Amino acid sequence: MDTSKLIDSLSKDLQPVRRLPAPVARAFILSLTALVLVTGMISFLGGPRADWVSVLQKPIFISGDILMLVAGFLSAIAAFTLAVPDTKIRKPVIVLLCTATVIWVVICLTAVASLTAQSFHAEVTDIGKSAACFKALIFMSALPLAISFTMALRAAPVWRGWTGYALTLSMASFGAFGMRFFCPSDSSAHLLLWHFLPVVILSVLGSVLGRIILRFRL
Amino acid sequence: MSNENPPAEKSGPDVWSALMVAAQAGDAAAYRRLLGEMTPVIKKFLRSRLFNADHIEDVTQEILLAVHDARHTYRPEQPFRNWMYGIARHKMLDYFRKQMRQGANEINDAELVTFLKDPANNPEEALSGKDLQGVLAKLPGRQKDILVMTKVEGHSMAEAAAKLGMTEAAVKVAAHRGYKKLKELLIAHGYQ
Repeated sequence: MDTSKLIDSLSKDLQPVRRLPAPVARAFILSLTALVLVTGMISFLGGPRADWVSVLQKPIFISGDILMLVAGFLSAIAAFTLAVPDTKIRKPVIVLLCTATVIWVVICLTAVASLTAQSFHAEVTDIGKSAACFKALIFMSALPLAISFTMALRAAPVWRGWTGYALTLSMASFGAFGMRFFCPSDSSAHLLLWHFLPVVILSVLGSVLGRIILRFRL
Repeated sequence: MSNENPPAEKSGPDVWSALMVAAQAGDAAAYRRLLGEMTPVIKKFLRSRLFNADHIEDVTQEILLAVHDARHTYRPEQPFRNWMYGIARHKMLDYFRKQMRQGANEINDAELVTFLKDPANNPEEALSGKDLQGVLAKLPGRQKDILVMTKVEGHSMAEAAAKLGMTEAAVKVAAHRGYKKLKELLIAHGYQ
């Protein structure tokens, strides 16, 4: 087909389109949806940990959870900004993604700093029991992640790997936030191995997932 | 995170941004003007990176289709040229990826054309038109139609897609399967 004919056929019967909301608005909607779903899943899995009201008094618990929420929201903004075509990944997005990533590095390093050989050994030797948290984290993140990829596909991501990474980091952050209210263990080794490191691993896998899933858009 | 140095537009980014906003509201005339003005700029952008005129035309059309498909993602606060070149760059990279994949595959257009057209390589086994027709007839209907349209009649993938009422991606997948099947059939007929 001649290009001018293609232009004619594209502009003929052109329908109005609804412009996508701004990335921040989309990130807000996704974050809210993810939090509602995570809350629902905690209820589905048997409700929150028995001492959830008292742990809310602990500054370390509160600060960790706030950081996870911030990481989740920032990476969601980054993901939806990346999902709009652009010639390069711009500084604000790099800052957002780096901040979210650094937050998780800090969370992991904090857990490593208070790690004891004994608790680490206990976690490794009882993998069957402890790994249930890993499964629960995946369960909590899976549906929000599917929704987030669907939302990204509504846009036109050209940086597919980075978009996948940002979306997975965001949804896994909300999943890990939920896990802190679900799992009664506050052991550093347990948190590091079954709550925090999985977020990092899932995010890296998310970049691969993004390359595969998001290529069907444009 | 590459640094592009795209050519300047004819009407300027503000005009194009306004035209796209009008197109989003359903203004067909504004959209036609926008695509018409974008096309030579896109071709210029591609010309410095691609050398085959047919491929430049194909990639230009793919970029226009992608722009059409993604027009709802444009927001007026974003510079239009960044948005447009973002899509153009993405489609161009896609083209390079496909070229590399084809290069890695046993099947590629250039080899197939050489194989079909060059009797000097093996005069006794050169493919006759009759043989080719016979082999093509054994392909599933859609695959045959697509190969004939794109490789014999010289239509682009986008045009074949429009004629067959399929998406361009589906046409490409069917064409790729068609090439593979054609090769198998030719080998089965004794052509190496």
